[in-house]
Amino acid sequence: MTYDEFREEVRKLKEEGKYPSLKSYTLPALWIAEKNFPCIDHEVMRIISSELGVPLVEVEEAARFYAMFHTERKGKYVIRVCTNLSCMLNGSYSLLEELERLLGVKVGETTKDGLFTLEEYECMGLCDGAPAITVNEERFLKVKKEELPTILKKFGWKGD
Amino acid sequence: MNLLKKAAFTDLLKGMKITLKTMFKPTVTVHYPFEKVPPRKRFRGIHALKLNPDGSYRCEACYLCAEMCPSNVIDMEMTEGENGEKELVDFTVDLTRCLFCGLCVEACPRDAIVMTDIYEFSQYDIKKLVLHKEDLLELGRYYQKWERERER
Amino acid sequence: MESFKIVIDGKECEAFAGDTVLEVAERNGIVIPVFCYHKELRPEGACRVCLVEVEGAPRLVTACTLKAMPDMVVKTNTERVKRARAGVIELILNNHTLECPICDKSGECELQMTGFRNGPKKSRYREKRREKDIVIKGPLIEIDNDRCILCRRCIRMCGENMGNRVLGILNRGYKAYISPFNGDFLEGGCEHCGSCVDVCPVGSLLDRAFKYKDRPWRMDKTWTTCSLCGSGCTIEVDSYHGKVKRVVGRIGVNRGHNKGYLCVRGKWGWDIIYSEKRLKEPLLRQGDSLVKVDFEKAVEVLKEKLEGREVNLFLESSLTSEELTKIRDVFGGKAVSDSYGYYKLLRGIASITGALNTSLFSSIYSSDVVFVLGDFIEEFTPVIATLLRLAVIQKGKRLIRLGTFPSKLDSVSFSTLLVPQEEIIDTLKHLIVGTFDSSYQSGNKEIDSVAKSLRGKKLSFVVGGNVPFSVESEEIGKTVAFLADRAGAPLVAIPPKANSLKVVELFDLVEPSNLKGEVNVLINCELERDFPGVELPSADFTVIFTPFYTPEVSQADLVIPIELGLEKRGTFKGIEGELSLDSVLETPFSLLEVLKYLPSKGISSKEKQVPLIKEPGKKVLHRKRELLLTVLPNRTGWNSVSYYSENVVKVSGKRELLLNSQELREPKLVSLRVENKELQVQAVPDASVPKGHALLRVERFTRDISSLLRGNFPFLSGIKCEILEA
Repeated sequence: MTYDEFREEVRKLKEEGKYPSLKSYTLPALWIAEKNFPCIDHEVMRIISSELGVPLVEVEEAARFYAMFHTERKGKYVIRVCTNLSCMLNGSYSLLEELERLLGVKVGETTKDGLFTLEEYECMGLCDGAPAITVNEERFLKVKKEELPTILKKFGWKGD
Repeated sequence: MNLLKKAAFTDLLKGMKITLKTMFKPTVTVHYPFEKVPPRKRFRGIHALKLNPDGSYRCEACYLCAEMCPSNVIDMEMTEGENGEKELVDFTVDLTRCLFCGLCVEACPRDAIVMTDIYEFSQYDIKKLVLHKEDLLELGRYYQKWERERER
Repeated sequence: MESFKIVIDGKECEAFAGDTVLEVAERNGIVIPVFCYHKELRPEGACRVCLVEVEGAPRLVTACTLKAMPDMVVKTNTERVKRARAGVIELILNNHTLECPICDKSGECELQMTGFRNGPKKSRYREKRREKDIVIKGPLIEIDNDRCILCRRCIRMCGENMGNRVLGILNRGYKAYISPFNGDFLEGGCEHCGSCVDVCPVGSLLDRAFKYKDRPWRMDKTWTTCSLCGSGCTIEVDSYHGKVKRVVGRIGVNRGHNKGYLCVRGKWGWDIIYSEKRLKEPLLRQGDSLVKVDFEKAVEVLKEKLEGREVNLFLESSLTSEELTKIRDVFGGKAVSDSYGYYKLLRGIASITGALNTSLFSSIYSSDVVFVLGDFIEEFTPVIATLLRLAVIQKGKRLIRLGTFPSKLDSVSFSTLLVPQEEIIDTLKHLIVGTFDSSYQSGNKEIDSVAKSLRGKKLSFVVGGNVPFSVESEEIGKTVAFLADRAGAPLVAIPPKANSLKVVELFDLVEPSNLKGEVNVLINCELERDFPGVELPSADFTVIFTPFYTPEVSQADLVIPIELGLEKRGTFKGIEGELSLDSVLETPFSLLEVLKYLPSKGISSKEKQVPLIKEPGKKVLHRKRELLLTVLPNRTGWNSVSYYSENVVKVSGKRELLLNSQELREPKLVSLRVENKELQVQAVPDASVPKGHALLRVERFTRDISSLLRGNFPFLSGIKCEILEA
């Protein structure tokens, strides 16, 4: 998506008229950017700010506050491993270690081919299926260490 | 009787007895300008500014020494250095007012200002008694050499 | 208001409805430590250091957000409170760098003070200190995030009180830090008012011009008045050994009418004193060149040349009243001044009220509705705009603004009437009728609704910004004074320069073309800056009294250095009555010192009479197809500051012509034509500029702008112009 297309999208969003104040469109607009850009950069924030009339820094605050928005370049697939209580007790840290070993990156980093970003995550409400992993919006419950390569291969992982 | 005593210089001889007694003992005083007693380890002489091993200033111009000083001896100027660090521009110690109490040394958080063992600093010109940064750093080099020797 | 009693620490204190416990305690001399609370800001309750014990409440409560209620019993120094306080401070100090020896705030740091008084004796934490290591360097402000305690004072000050919202908190939780957008103050729209630096309780936000220059406690503090615009702000000048180190406003402590709020000129413009262009000695023309002469020689020549001759006096209006009185005594009462436009405005007002004067600014606080007339108040007198904003935010006044261009004030105003420049007087006339006659229909709904909101209220009127420089200033003055007179309301005409009111009072101000003297005398002024569009009349001899090497120095025969505002003692006649200047700085040259040697002309003072007409003004501007040009010196401009201050030049804007985005699609170079003069300038489309108007923003008045405006003095607004393709 180009910046001009994004500006059009924000305008369309505004026309929907869902919310009483323009400021309320900040998060939906940031969602569009999150889905269509490798990262929410400052140019995106400038567009949102100028379209919605929100101060620049308020857009940046929103984008940097929420963990699901990436202001740094992310991979095509974002692997999120829950490490809250239920998942941790069921061994999510070992999953995390295994993923780090398989992908060869540390938590918070992106693989060299730009395919995967590994993230440690807070509770996603999948405690019944602990330990839980999501890859972008697909979820995997009761994941065992041995299943990880098959999950990764589904998304085009080239390792073995 | 009294007259006799006076005629025989007995008082004088009494005094001379002490002189004669000590005349042949070894001396305890020193011939000051030619001979000097090394000062004690914690002697408080004139001030010096120490340098870091890499040659940078240790003093970061916090002004605490000047604040502690009871007789308003120390003054300094500071500015922002090229790398955004605090830099000392000038450091003046007015020795004419100093009473060598050593409070400045105690106040220093960086152990930058110290007191050397130098106690001879008389000058003919009173202006020379106001030490500036360069003088103090020179003294600091002397102090650090002396400090190393002392430790050995 | 009805009061009731509450008990704090066993002391019975008087409280009013709406007071917080902290305010009541403060009034009664009971100290409760605070971090995030500030007198001028809305309470936030974030730092939790002001915890107090309230009888009946299960937990400790923050005093800054707790409203006082009848029969409340509060304890501020029980063991429980002390322990809680120490705990909070321990947590804050845990992640605060121990840089006090080099921190510029140390000595006036609130964390230091509170830490000593209420903090724990030692920390129980052994964990490593968090190091964010994020330093954001702006042109004038630096943010050291390691020292930040995240009290959000700066953000609230910037966003709420100043209405800018430049600073924000990025990231969250443990990693949160303060930053402007993209780490860039200028892109975020920072006006560099310095209020955030002022309210920071620790040394996180720093004044870069002061960084590492001195220690706060050892400097001499002098309260004086800023002479850089008509706001007349009270400022504290900190100097050491007779050298100015910084200027601070001290928001919440300052007793002046500006309450401590400053602007970029007042806060950072002090370095003009040490400008390289500062004049050090008198200069005398000998042949083609100017040579340095001593003071006695200069006075001798001056005396000889002035003897029995008539003088063309050019006067800048930031001289003190004492100097002005002496100047009038020596050079006579006829002068050209940059307050000429303001004089016209006052003359208009005086034709209704009978006095060449304005009401005090504080009179707006006793009204309910403040009617503001004028654009760019935040550029000409930035602090007045801040005070108007605060009158709405803090005192609950209703602000109604009439103008042409949108303004920052509109975000807090109750309603804003934006009409083209030529319709301002008509709109005012509609309001004159509509305010007192509920059946009147003006044909414009907006005007009717404004008239309705003015009806029956306690009003006050503020005229300022570009109105004194408008072509219609006298007529606008008449009209708005007529409205104020009928409503029985105070009318505040904001002077554009520090001592404009005194200049108007003392001198007979004339058009530059009316000067027919043989000696030109320029005092403290720069021709292009203060008199855009005026050329120096030909004379036998030209004397310039100036602090700087101005462009006119090359045309002068005698140049005598004088002092600057911060170096003066004296008084101003400002918007809040008499304002006094004080200084600890010594200067070798002084204007009064020179004038002492000159013979007095012995002019008796007489009260100026303006005929009473009691009629609203008449429309002057009639437009067909031309554009109306407004030349606007931006917030750093209009003063010696934007010319000679290194600090302020860093944030001054650039020259551009703003046009309505329907009239100009994309930025391009155009030629601006006024009568038969042309100027090439970069034009930029801007949605905020109304149709039929052109706004030329300049960071300083230069020769080409002066020649574009030739013959238009004192007008900067409402000038007919055309745009041609370049």
